[in-house]
Amino acid sequence: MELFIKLKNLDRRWVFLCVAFSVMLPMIFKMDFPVFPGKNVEGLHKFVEQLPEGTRCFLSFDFDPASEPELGPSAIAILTHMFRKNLKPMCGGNWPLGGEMAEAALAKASEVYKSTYEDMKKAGKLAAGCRPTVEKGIDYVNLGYKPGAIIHVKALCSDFMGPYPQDRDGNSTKEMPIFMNHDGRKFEMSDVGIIVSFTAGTGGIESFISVAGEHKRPMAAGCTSVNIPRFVTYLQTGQLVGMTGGLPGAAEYEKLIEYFGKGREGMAPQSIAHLIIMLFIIAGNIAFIAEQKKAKKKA
Amino acid sequence: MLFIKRTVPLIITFVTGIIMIIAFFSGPALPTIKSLEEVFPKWIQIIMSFTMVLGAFSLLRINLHKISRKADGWGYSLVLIIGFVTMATLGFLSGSWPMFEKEVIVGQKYYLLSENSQSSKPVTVSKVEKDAEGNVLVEVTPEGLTTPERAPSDRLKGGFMNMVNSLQQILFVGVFKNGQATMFSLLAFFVASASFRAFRVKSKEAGLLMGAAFIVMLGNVPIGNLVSKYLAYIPFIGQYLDIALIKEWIMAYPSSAAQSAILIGAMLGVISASMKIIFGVERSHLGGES
Repeated sequence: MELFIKLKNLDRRWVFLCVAFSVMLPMIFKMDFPVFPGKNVEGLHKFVEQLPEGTRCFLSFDFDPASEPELGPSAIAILTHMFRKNLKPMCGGNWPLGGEMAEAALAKASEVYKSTYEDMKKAGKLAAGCRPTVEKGIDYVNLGYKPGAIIHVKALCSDFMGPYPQDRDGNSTKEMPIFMNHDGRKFEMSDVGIIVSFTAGTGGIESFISVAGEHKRPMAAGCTSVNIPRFVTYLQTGQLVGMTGGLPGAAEYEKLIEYFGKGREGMAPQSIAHLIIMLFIIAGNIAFIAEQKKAKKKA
Repeated sequence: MLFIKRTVPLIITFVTGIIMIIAFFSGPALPTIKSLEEVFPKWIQIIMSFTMVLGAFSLLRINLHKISRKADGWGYSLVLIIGFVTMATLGFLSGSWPMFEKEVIVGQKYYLLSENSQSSKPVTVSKVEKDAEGNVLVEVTPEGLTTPERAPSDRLKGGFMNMVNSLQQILFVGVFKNGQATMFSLLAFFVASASFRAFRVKSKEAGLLMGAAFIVMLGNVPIGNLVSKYLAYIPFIGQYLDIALIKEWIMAYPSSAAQSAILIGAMLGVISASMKIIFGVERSHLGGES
């Protein structure tokens, strides 16, 4: 009993050390836990899977480097899946550093696509029109950051090309094949097959949901773990077709596309860290009960 | 002066607010007003871009003033100014480089950026051509190699611009990106310490909260499946103790119901606050009493 009471006054540096080890050791020993995709991630995967080849998809990178370790793996997994299905991701951002985040995710996804091209082709998991490489302006485009969030989305609904005369690198979007329609029509929001927002806070998927009545496009989200309870509501109402929540969501998507990336790598440290935090909560409560019992005895 | 500072912004807020409400509900019956719904977002985007410039100047002014007065913590302001000016200069230079390096000259040495722009290698241009879409492609030979490779011309940079790009990458990826990620990661340590000290089951409600928290924490990570596997050995009820399924249920029903209520309440609050601003009842945004 005394031991538990002493435990209550444990120096917080010991707690920090335990958390540090719980994250580091599984990484050092390369521990791996089996990942089972959940309903929400499967929903998004299925939706992307059934999109016709060549469909343009709008991916909004609404996060900054603080959330990159959590949302980056989701973005890479979804982009890789889109490349393999010969879909055309168009990346934008409602957060100032969204363009940079998209650039990094696109570079990694195209690297994964290229390195796994032959294996996927042999396994028959590539769309018929897939080529060994993906090209900027043809297979994908990074449109960069635009201010306004909901206002920007509203502007996209009335004239998609208006806010984007150039891509992030200053290349004119007018001549880009990715924006060309077979019938010569100007590219519009209605040509987008799915909107996916990687959201770390405000100005993310909710900006798209708010004007869903205007764009009427299917939506999905990749969000940080703390945002999951907020966005589950939109899944329940059918406003989102799917969602990857936090690093576990990314790991589940990686599992579905048969890729071992940062999401799956992070599952062992996260699992152990969760266990350690739970053990500390239990220990703290045992100490609390022990202290109460001791106080009662004294009384 | 008060007219310019108070009355004019109030009139603008009232008129634009009312127009936007009418435009939203008007439909095709009032095409002129409806068209404003398309124009206004463009205006707002332009104004927002200016506010970013204004914010940058304001940041500089406040911190320069702090440095000149040698106020408490002026050293932090100095670091902020140096960081701000350095990143802005490198960003402007990097962003405007196509203006300085318009043409690619055959036989000249350049630096070929990697696809993620985080590294580069010295190359010599041997051929410049345009593809069917009009994109300029270059054939380059990396230093020390004889096999040429093709690359888009926008990945080629001269010596100076390569140095600018390297510096920007060092500061952005090496300092800013990792710094932000580290700050966010520190949360894990504080959450562990805070929950150890403060998460006490002092009532039934707190017990319920802890139970739900444990299920969600376990169900969110793969180890939850492992726990479920062992729980399945418990006679009679074991087969129903699937942590991932229970977590899904908690998220989809009790949590989602509470979230919906919070969202509806928050939205009603937003509508009420917006009406107060449109009708000039709430004036604190003008820098005075409400």
